[in-house]
Amino acid sequence: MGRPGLSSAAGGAGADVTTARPRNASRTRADILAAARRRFGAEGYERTTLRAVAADVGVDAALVIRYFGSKQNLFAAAADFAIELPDLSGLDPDDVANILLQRFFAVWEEDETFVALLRAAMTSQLAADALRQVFAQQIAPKLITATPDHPVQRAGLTGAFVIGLAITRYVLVNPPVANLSREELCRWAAPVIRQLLTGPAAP
Amino acid sequence: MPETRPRDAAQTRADILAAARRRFAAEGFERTTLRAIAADVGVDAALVIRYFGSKQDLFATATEFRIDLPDLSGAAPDDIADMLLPRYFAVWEDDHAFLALLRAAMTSRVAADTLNETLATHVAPTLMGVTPDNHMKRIAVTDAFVIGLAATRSVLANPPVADLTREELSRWAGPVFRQLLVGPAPT
Repeated sequence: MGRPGLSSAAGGAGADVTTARPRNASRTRADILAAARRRFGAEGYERTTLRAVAADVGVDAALVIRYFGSKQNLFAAAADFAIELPDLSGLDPDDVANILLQRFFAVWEEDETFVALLRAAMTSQLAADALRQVFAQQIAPKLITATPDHPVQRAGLTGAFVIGLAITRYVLVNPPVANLSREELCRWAAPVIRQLLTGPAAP
Repeated sequence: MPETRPRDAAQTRADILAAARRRFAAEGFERTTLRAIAADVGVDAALVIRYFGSKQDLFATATEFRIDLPDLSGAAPDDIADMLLPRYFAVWEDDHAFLALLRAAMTSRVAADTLNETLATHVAPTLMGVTPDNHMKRIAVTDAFVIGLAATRSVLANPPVADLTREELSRWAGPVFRQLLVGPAPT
């Protein structure tokens, strides 16, 4: 396996790029991430290729690999942009639940990327690995800042609840869940998040 | 492909169902073909059709799962999780038909509708035995929690949740079931 090309990620952008106009490296990275999010959202994780993402931006696939390493890493970087969970330490438990639920709606309703990853992760081992990586690197560290004890279990269980809401509401479109207004769903889901993240620990 | 040893019909049926679950789970309903399932087992597609009928019929048979929830009416709030979870575990962790359906439902409308229908007809009536008010809202969020645990544990295998013993998971899930099903309605 390994992570080909990561060591040369810095500097030299554009030297072997097929595009004619000079490129700014951070601009190119941003363009690649935007293209990746469109592709993952429209075609799913599995069918998205680094080659297609590169072509959308007008660069070579090798450059995408040099910047991001692998499709999994590219996905994690594309997702990072979307989640933007704030530091939760020191917040009132009710505020934590509300902040997480607002981010939940933003991530799942305004961005197709996550629904695509979730569909793929449930049917493909590679995509499941990518989703676990996003959870471990981007979501769990933020959730843990709100937990009084058992950080790993509390973050994991909260993640499981959120995944369940996403599956039933956006993928299954299960009528009882999908028909809840945002406000109703927040009202009923907030006590669950509060209990799992900050409630009394399991005896 | 030509099968030389004589085949036991019951064994062949079981092999076809197992192959169908793998295919439907990995590829969804639409992309799975009877020909591919037949090839996995080493039989002809015509035999699959003779045993199970159409792809739709085979899907229905391969993903038909049973969930036997106990009567909850009159149960003490603290006992509800302990009454429900063993039945849920039996479905998530031991029933290949359910896991195939859950996976297929992620990419297939037919499968998603089948799962939604099962929740509505086999799960909701039982849960309604204890919900004091806001029945469908309580059941909706409870179903979401259960599906999330099943997916995280048995499909995504996310270690923090997959590594919990059944007893540990029951202890964490208990207060959530109690709150969602019989706790005070949030204001």
